[in-house]
Amino acid sequence: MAAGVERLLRRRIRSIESTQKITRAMELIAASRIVRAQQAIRAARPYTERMEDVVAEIASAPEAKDHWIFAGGGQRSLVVVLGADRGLAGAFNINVHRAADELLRQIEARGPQPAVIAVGRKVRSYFHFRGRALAESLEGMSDRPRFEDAQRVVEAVARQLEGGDIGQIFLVYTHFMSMGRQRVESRRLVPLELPQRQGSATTIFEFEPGPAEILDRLLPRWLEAEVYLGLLESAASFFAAQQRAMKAATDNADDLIKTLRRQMNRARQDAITTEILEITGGAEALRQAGLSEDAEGRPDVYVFPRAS
Amino acid sequence: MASTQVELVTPTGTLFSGQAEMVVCRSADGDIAFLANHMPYIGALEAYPLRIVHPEGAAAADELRFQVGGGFVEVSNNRVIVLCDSAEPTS
Repeated sequence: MAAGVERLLRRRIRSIESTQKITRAMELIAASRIVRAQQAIRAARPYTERMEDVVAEIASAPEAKDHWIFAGGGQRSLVVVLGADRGLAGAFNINVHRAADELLRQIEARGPQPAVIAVGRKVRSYFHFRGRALAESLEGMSDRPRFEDAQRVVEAVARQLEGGDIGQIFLVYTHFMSMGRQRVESRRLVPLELPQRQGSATTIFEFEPGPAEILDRLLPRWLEAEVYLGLLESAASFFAAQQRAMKAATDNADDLIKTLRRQMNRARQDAITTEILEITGGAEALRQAGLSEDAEGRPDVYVFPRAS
Repeated sequence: MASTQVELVTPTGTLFSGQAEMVVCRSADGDIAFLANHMPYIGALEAYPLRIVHPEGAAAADELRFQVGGGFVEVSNNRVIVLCDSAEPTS
């Protein structure tokens, strides 16, 4: 009976140890992926920032003010949600889904049903579970986003825009501030709010072609730049969350193993004590039996000498 | 010779950043070259070889050539910023 408990505990410890091996490996992989994702963010950021500068410069041209980028002008909203394909990353996916839900609620309180583009298998299955129809869903890009992936997302956006009457575009993504800090943000891309320029000393630009045509061409490129950075930041945040979650799991496994091993050792000790008690008890019984009668006649019975 | 600050930026990184004498590229209306102190300009770029002429610190190469995909160029304050979604150095 006692040996059974010991065997049971040993089996559980072994199973936890093999799970711990997996979580530790995932922790290490996530840690190395963060580094690569951060490098990609650093490489991409100048492009997005310069793109934003150009859009802001064009906004200073008076005839550009009425362009769709700045004015919007449609009834429906389009929400692009950047999530992940996989789980095991703590609260990462839940935070994204919650922020998206919140945004969608706000939009629905004000106007018609928004169109939703889901990026990431987890986002798709979440909205599917909640019974929300998706305009499009894309996957296979959340781990290591390439620029072509951002282009795919913007193509999906363009298809929705062709459908018509879209006046607002929102992007839900996880902003990667540092290893320790990530925050889900719901950013409105269109209509674009421009930061207030200081003073009236705006440069007069020459445009080729005209400002409106440039904005038409710029729009998809600028969206690509924003989505690309969003994808990269989400990926880095995903791995940061995964690393934290897997580290917690590995530490938990350590604690669990320590407790179980203590229990197992106690069970073994108990078993040994019981066994010794049984042997000495049996020996005592035999000795007493031998004293009374025919112990001398039985060479196969060893009689313990009385403890002195 | 006067020079201008040139930056060639793509989503995957900045391919060139430094002083150069001239940048030649093709905009929507045809070839255009930027020298130092060009007037402020924003234009759409065609997929076309881009030339950065007499870049600083490159004695051997007279000019750098890049095959750029479509993009944009912004010129202001003696700075030429080329934004394109892809660029390959060619010799």
